[in-house]
Amino acid sequence: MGTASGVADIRSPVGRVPGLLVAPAVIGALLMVIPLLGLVARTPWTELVGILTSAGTGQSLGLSLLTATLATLVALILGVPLAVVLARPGLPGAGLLRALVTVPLVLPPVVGGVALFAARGRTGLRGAPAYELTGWALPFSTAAVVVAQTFVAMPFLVLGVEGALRGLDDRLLDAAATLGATPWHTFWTITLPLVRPGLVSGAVLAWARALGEFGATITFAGNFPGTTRTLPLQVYTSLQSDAATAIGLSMIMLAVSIMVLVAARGRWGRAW
Amino acid sequence: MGPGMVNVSSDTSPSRRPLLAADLSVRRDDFLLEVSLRLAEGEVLVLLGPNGAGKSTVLRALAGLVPAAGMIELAGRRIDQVRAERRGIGLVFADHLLFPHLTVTDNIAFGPRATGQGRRAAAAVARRWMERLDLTDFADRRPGQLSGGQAQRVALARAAAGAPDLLLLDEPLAALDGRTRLRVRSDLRRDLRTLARGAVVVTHDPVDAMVLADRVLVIEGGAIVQEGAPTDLAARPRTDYLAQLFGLNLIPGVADGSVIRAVGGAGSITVAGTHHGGVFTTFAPSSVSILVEQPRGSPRNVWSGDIVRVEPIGDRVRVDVAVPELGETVRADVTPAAAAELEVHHGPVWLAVKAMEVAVHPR
Repeated sequence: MGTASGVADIRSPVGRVPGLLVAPAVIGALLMVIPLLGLVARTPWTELVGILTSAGTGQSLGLSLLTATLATLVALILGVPLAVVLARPGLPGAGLLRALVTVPLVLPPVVGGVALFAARGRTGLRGAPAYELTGWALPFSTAAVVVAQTFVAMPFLVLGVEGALRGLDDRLLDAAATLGATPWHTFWTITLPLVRPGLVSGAVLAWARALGEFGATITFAGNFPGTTRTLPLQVYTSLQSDAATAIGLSMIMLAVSIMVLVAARGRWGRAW
Repeated sequence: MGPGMVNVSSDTSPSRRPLLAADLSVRRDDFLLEVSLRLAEGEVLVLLGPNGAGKSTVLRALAGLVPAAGMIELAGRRIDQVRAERRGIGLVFADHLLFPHLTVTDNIAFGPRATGQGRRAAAAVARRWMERLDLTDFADRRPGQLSGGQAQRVALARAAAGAPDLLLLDEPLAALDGRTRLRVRSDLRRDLRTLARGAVVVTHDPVDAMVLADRVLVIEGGAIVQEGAPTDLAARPRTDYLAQLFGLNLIPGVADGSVIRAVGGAGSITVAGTHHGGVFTTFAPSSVSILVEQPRGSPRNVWSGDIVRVEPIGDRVRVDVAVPELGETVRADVTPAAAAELEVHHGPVWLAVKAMEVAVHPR
């Protein structure tokens, strides 16, 4: 991640980058890279194995992987149909619906957590009747973690799939229809395979976003070891007593995130 | 219905029901398309017309891809209220629209699979069609790895593999380069009658129509303006579009014996033979001579006019001359040397055509 080679990379493929753009580009790159370098520099490499294998870390890493994967699955099951509906040309109110669905992208996650609490809490819009009926409330459970993560992660999936759908030639669906395929059959055999690059990159981004979710989770699900303390919450908790552990955990998250981003640009996401 | 099972019938008894009967009307903004089609079993019908005439819309309406009012009956079944996937109509698109993520085999097997056949049965159907259309070598290729001609054959095989009652082809040769076009055209001529029980082909190319059609419908501005066998259309065009397509001058007139008064002006055309009533006269641009001085004592038709356009066509030069007394622009073909002479000439020219060279057909 050397800055010198970064500049050279900009120059050669693009050809003529205006000189005035180079300085801000370098500063911009530094702004992103320096905190990461700081993290790397401060990482207690010798203690890393110990941190990784400590009970609390293992538990929260496992919980994070489980909830992020579940949240991605929920986002796939609900988000793909949502994207298909949004991509349909001429849908009335599509603009408003799209804005509402993607608002978690810009909303502070804490506010998302508060909103979820207002809706699903023991006294909330939907939570209250459920609590009266069953004596069970969603908040402060592992399920609440999944809901919070889905809330913040699904927009990535919806946007990725919708973008891919817009690039799809609708006449291919006409062709499928003249060959006797029902809309359902066409969806599975033509639409889904053709939007796969957008679907995969959207799902990977959603997974990464869910993995890193903090604000909505701690607000809506709390910070209970074993049930709701995911890795980011573990980082936060550790920071208050043991900075070295927090940095070590952060390093793990950084590594996972980079691997995910590289994978998202790799084989699975490629078009035909 | 598999390959080779089609009965190219010579039975043309009028009592027999046509394979396809359609009376369609499609309204789009201020464009109205209204056509009536009848197609006999085994027949190839060509819809010929300029761009924007509504030809492709006819195909899309038949296939159920655009809403249309009216009636469609195919193989004894009313299908106008039936969804596209159940109409039994295969459509070959101008740009093929092969599924880019599927191999050639899977593209061709798509129809059989979609209509409920098992994987192996569908693959067997695909294999038969690939053998038939000489595609076996490309079985595992993706559409992106095919040439235009190969993609066209795959599109044809894919549409035919669904065993449609009727095959529709939208500009099947438009996306191909010159040499491929020639070969695919003659292949189509050979295969079209055996791929389905009947076919409707849309084209704007008169050569396609001449080669492929049993019968031609000419569509202009959303309506059928002429219908007939290809040779009949070439010999007796009734619209200026069609006359131009076949490289003829077309001048409507009213005949009284061997003199035909032009409809559009005060002039007349002398022809061989005698005729009566409304007629079209046609003559080839090559039979028109251009003279810079008025000829005297000639037995020919002579009209004066002004040159409006000069354009080289191959080894000839096409000269358009506006002739007020006929109310038409007459096209004449001259040699490049003669054209050079016309270049330095200013003022009106005279056109001469022998009576023998003018053909007449009723209006």
